[in-house]
Amino acid sequence: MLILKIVALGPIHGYGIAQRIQRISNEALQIRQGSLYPALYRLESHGWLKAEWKISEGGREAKYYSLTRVGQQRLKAETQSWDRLCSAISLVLQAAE
Amino acid sequence: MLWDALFRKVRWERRLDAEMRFHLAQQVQDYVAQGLSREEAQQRAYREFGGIELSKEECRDQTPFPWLEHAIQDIRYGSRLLIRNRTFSLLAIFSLALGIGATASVFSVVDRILFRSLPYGDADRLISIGVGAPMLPYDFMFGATYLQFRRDQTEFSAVTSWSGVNDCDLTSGEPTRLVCASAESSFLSTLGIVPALGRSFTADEDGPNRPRVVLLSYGIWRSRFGGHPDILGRTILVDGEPNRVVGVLPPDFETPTLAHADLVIPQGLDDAALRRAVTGRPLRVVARLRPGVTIAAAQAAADLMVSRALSGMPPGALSREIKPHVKTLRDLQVGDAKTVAWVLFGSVLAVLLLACANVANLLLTRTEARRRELAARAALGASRTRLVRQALTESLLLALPGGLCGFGLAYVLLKIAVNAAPEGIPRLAQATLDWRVLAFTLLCSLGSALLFGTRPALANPGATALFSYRSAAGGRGRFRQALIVAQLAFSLALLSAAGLLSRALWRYQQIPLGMDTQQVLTASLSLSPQRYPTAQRRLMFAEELEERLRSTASFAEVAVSDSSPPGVPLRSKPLAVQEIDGRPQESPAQGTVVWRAVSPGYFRALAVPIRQGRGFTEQDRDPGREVMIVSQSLARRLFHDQNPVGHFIGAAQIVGTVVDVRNSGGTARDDAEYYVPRSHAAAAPIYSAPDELRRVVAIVRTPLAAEFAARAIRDTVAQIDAALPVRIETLRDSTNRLSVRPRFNAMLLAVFATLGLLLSAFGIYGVLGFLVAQRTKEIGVRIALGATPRGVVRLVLGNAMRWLAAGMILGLALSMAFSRAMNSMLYGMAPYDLAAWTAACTVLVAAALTAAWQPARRAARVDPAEALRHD
Repeated sequence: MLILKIVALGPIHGYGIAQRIQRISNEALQIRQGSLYPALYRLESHGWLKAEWKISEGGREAKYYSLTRVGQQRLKAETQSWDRLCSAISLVLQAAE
Repeated sequence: MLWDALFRKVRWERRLDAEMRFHLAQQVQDYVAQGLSREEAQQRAYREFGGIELSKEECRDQTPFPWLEHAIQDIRYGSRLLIRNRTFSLLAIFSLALGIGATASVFSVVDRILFRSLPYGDADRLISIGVGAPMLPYDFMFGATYLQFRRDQTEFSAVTSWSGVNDCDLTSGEPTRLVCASAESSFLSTLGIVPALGRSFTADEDGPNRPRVVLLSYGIWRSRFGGHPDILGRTILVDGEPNRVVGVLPPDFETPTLAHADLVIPQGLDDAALRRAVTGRPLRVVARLRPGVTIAAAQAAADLMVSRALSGMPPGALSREIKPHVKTLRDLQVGDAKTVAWVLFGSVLAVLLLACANVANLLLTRTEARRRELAARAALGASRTRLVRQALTESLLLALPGGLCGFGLAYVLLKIAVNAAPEGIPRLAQATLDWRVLAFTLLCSLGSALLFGTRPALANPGATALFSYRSAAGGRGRFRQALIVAQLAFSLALLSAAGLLSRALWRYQQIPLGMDTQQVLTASLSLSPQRYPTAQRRLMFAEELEERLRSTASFAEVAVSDSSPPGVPLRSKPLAVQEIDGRPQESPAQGTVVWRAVSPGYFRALAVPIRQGRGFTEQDRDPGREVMIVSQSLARRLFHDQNPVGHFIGAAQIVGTVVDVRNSGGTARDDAEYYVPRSHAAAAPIYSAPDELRRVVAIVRTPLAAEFAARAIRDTVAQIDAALPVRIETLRDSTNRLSVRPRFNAMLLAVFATLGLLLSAFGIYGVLGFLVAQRTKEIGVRIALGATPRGVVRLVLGNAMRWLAAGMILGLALSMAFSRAMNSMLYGMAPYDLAAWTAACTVLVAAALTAAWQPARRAARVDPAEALRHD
């Protein structure tokens, strides 16, 4: 879901995704970089991401991922269910206090 | 396709690599920007990324076809292993190829007999219906019964009849002897055959005294008439009479009895003619079941028909022997070949199973040896399914080449079999390797791969095996021993089946022929009705032929008959209707009696010994003389121990008895037989049946070599009628032909049994050898503690003996079932033949001991010091 969210911001390459997750979460979430790519490939084979090769800022060729329409729907669904889960957990936590 | 896929794969890999390298380069760049040294930045980037190859591997797993990826890996790995263990792989592939090859070739033959659909429309609903009675060797109905049946029945949507096949001459152009089938007009439509050209004949054209029409077989149309479509409407001469061609049969046409037919002509019977001939012409009846009607209902209809037909007859021995017969066309066609086919198919499947068991054993043995490797792979993260898949891939890698080689082998075997096989095995000549056989072979390979691959695959060890120095857990050992026992059991079944067949064959050949076949030739002729229209003319021809042959100096003995042994006589009747001394039999004898009309030289020419009384003399041929000579078996059945000479059967007085002569035409039981002299009077009652006297067989005993004698006979015939085709054969050849088929069957079974024996001996050798290798240490300890070499041999052989004992008990049970199935192939020999079984057991024990001997010796020679240092 995190990856989908970040990709939703615009086409981005794998390294960028790793950097951004780190930066946004204030270094709290450290994705093991080795497992990022399998995740990307899985999302791609599900058809939620699409990829194309472009020239990066540094002048090298890089693979840029962007969200497909199915991916967008998926992101929406996942966000909603995450929200539900979160509110449910906080409800439980509040009740327990 | 493949290249495309490969190319895509390579590009995909390159991109994956580029992507990761890009990631790392960026990371390094960033760290450098943060002020790290280049090396430090690199180290840190790589550390943070983790295992690049692992990551790549995981990425690959995310692609849509991870299994393909794995399969390619497994295949690559498996084939490397197989190539490394060349001996093992070749052995395995070789046993499989043998098993599959033999199975495929036999399948290609029995497929035609047992499984493939017949060339008729909706052939499963076609039924042959009629009565079996002692007078005719086939199922039939008489005309009036047929009419009544056709009118009254409700079980069939169509009913048709035909009269079998007969010789006929195509007399336009060069005269050729052909075979004509005569049939009712509804014949083709009932069978669901559509002519390749033109039409079938109509009911209007099928009747007495109509303009004659004819259907050509596809082969004759192509060979005699060049395959021109303008043949339709042309007139050809058949037996000298003009026949208009109305159609051409399809290429795959065959008659319901598989009798060869070149032409199909109307049988020329209308209902009136049928009704008149109450007991006239026997018709063979084929009917098509209505949808939803079972064969049991058809049987009930046949029972009803017979009881109606017999209602006018007094109850007696004869009506007891008339039985309604209902068969599917397939059963009608293949008859007892069905048993042979099943037996052959069963035995070859047993061979295949043996081969599979062998390969499974080999694989198991190898799995044992690879326990540590597999355990290491499991420890490194290979899942259980992955390992099983790997093992199955390996067995497939053995099975597919095995199947391929097997297919090639089947091709060769089939070529050999078709050339070596005797005539008369139904459909053998048509057996080819086509897609059905290919599919069958593929199925065999895949099935056997599963069969022998699953068990070793499931035997994959857990991680504990990595540390254990002991291998071969008891359970797996037992499975392997069970395989050996099963192999031995199947081998024994095969061996005893082969033994039984050979014994039966041997016994069959011991039965005396009743005649001396050396230096005897037979010449068969068939007089065409238009050149020899009357009985008088035919008799004149036969007598002139006899006279001329007898005046040839080099022919020692000459006889003329209407048929010759070991062929079936033309005429037969139920034994029960014979009156003895003018009275009906008190307790009517069952069965059939056959008879021939022969000239006095018959018994001398064939050297048939006369037991009582005398042979025929020339005076016996005078008009009005009624005498006969009976075979010993007929005499025994009608007169028991009395001397039959002087008694009467019907109107004829018995003047002598002769020994039984083989007259079944094949391997069936011989019938009782009597002989009457060939009368000089064409009006004699023995010649009264229509078409009587058409067939003439001259039997000549001569000191000449066969080819000279044959030429002399041909010349003599040509002096009388130059246009008459004649078939000459030595009696030796025609009697030898009797046992060709059983000999072929016995030989095939013997080959299978040998194959099976070899395979199981090989299995014992392999497994014992492996066990010995595995127990080297234990044996070394035993020897160190004082076991004698003899004791060690006994230990190893004891193993083999236990398997052998178990295998033999199972095998005997199996072969009992098997030999019961073969009952009809044994010519009346009891299927439980002690000699055959003893022989089979002996051979098996000998083979097993030979196979076990070498490993036992190796065990006995184990050097204790060496063995204990081992590992």
